[in-house]
Amino acid sequence: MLNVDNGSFALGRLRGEVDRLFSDLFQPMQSTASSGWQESRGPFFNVWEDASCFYLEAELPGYRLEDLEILVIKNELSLKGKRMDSAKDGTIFHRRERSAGAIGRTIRLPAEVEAGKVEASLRNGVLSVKLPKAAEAKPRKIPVLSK
Amino acid sequence: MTTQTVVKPTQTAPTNVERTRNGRTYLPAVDIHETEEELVLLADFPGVKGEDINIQFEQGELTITGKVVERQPESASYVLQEYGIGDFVRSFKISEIIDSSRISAEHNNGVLMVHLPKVEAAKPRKITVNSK
Repeated sequence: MLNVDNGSFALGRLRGEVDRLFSDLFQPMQSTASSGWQESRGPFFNVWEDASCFYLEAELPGYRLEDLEILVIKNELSLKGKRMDSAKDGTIFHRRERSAGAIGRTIRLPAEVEAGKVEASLRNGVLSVKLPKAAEAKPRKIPVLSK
Repeated sequence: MTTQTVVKPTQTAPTNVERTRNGRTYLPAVDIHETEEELVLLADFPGVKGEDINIQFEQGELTITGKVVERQPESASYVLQEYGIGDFVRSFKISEIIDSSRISAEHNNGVLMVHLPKVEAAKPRKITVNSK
């Protein structure tokens, strides 16, 4: 055991554990088609909308676009990915807070989107996805005829 | 023989300094690992551009700051809002065995990597024994 006398190291570890506990507690329920135990952790999403599109954003630092898989079916979006682990065997860590391993999550949007027109980009570790709403999901103005 | 750990990075809350910008700040998640040559710090800085990163090393305290430009419309009508957006700030106390003149950093895919090279004297050295 290294640095036994290093109080800050143990404290950092504890902090990491507490953080993990809390993030697990507040992790929203994940809807997945696959059964059984799910090991991957969901990334956090911000989703907003205007009349024509949904916009989804997730902070995914250290991921490359080829590490991510985005699937859109009707009103469901799933995101899967894996971040390269910087650690080699035998690395001495003083702090380890950045989670390595797989992420995966599926969310249901309030309306259907046109899967063929979805655009995704990844810039400085931020994933942005633009999801145009399906024609039937867009608000329509109904003209009122008066006689 | 295992390498003795010589550095104890301790985190300090950056509360003694007032900020000129409004808004929340966030603590970035970091990994710190050590090799024979250096300490390497990795920090998650999503949404921070290279030119908006500031690294300061003063009196043994390393402060990393990442300015985040607002990227979601202020009046956005959210369907889901699970994280906040703001600048990243975090400070560490680094022991004097770091050669501060040779600190370097790089930035890739929203991850900041800071190299903190050890001074010569702090590197482990293997002494060869000559036998006759």
